[in-house]
Amino acid sequence: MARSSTENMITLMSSDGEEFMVTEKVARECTTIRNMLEDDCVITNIPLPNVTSDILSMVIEYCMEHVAAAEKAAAETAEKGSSSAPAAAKANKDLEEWDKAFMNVDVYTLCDLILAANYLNVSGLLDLTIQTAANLIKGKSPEQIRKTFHIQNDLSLEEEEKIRSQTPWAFEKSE
Amino acid sequence: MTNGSVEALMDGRELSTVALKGRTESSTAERKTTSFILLPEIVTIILLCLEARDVCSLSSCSKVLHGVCNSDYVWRELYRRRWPQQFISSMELLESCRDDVIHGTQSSGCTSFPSVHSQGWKAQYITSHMEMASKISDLLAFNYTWRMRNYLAVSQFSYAVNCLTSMKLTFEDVCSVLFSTKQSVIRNLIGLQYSIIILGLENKDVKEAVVSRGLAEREVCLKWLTRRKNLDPLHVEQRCYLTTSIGKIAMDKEVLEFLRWGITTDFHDLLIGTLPDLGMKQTT
Repeated sequence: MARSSTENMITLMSSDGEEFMVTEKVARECTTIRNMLEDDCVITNIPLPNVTSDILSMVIEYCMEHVAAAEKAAAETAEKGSSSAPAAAKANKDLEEWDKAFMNVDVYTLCDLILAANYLNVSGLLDLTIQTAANLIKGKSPEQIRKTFHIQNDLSLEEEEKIRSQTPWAFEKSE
Repeated sequence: MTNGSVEALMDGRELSTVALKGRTESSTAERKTTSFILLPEIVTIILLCLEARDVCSLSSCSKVLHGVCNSDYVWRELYRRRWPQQFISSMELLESCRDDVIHGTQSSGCTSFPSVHSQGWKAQYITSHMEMASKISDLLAFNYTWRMRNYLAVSQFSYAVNCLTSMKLTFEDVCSVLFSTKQSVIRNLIGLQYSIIILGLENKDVKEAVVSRGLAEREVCLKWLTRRKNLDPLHVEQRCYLTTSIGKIAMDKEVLEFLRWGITTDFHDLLIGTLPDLGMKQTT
């Protein structure tokens, strides 16, 4: 994290007491933090009791990458007067690839990221993680979904039968 | 769950979860359920990215999930997405009935509340889905050959695709009604042709849909006659066969075009069916 004299640094503290120094710009990617900063502009130390250090470091990584991409795009636009469409498309694709690689995590991390993105209100990260979770559910039978997300089945056989009989067409493949 | 079992359907990510689970189990307390499942508002956001059948699958996973997946809001959104026009008219009817009750008037002419109000959106969705499915079935059961034998001439095939076009079916309708192992392979193929040629969807998206519904390996056979070249009496017309599968056709632009035009200067008498129905043994 490069320190620049013109930019304010904010310290974010995870639930397990680890401190992360980030630029205000990166911190502002989290709407929850942005609102705190707008309410009280002298605040420099923000405790985040709901987020552990490993998850917080991932959220920061995500925000930094997206801030850097936005800055790069803005710089290019300023330089050339207007942004060239192919360059912008490539940058978008690169960022998409980055997002995809970033989502290569186990389900526990994914779920913790969803909760953190929801709590910190990072809309891009929330969309990304929600979509990833949805993709893990798509086309799967109930048994496969339980296995993927380690869900305990507390339904009796009769209850399950009753649920399935309401919409038999939805369970054709898993029969 | 045994850590050693590697499910064919698991991807790399899930495998790493299994490995991770193994570690936590052996070290400290086991993390039971992934945390987000316990938060209804998060599950609801995920549900809005899914199709009805995925919501149904999730709803029979556990009691908590069943509750979340049955919410009227979720089904209202699923209904709105699948039948946007009907959704608007249902809402209007609901509004005018509400006005009638509030103001004691009878302007809308409805004596009872619409079924959406009394049964909720899930019931409404199921009713509409069943209606749609039987309408499609009726339309496709158009002649004797169609019902009695499992093959079609290409003209009948095109007619069936046109029927779907006139019904303005969406891809979701095709997926939920025609892309099913309960339907004949020919109906699967009609849905496939319609999705790619008429709706103009990407081959890979349609392929994904047929794979996830277990149709990719279903065999289908094409049989046709080559034309005589220059009316040469010595040139014998030749019977040609192509045995392929739903999954392969989804990615094969050539076969889809072949089915679309049916008759050209090079061939005619194209029949589409399953191997035994076209009177053939397993050869290519």
